[in-house]
Amino acid sequence: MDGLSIEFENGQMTVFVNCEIDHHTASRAREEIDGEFFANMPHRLVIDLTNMRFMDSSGLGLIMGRYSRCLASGCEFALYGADERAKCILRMAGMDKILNLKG
Amino acid sequence: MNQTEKKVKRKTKKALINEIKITLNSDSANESLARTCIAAFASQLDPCIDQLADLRCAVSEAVTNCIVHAYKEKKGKIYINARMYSDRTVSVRITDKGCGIPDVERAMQPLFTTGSTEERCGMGFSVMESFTDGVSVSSAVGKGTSVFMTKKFE
Repeated sequence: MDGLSIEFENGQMTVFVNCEIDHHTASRAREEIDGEFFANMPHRLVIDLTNMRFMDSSGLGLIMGRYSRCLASGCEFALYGADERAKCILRMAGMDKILNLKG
Repeated sequence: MNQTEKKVKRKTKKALINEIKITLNSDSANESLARTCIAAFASQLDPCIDQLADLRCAVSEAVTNCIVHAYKEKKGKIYINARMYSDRTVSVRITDKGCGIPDVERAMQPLFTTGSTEERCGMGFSVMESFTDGVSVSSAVGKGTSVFMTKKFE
């Protein structure tokens, strides 16, 4: 998907989100991330939002859904580069304390 | 003393200085378009980026609600009416003719959703309220919903 790039290194899957995440793009992002996740079964999933240009609560759903997948698979999860607005949305759902927020 | 010499205290009323009306198909590809249209409209106030981003996010949530919940991803129209006032307030009304909300108060509670709970987290109204100066919702089952939000730009 345009705006999403996925890299693998030493069992870690990193998803670089370089686009806007709304309900429209979240469904395609979900399919692609889950496809790669289940094909490769990484021991750590990192979602990097550094270059994400927009996020609404659909992005929150995307993140929470991927976090749930990690919990179910015993995979570590980390979220990088969330800006103040993304952190605010995560905080509203109480997810800032649960997720491993970095940078 | 004649009428013209009397000092009359007039309450300053804010004036409507601009208005747009947009009708969009309830297609998820139009979520971005709705955000862009309202952001372009509010940009006339030369607002700070953060406040503009707040409004974009709130509009995105409301339009998404129309697509996901009001029309349940089927065909419908979304009516957006934005107004700009002389006191730098922008109001946005987003209306649909979808299924309506049986219990608005319940629907606006954080984390409440009638969508698939795995991916719909029920934070749409919370985000709207957090990023604007106020949200009011009116709805009738079988007829539709209207979400009204305002934001004053510093």
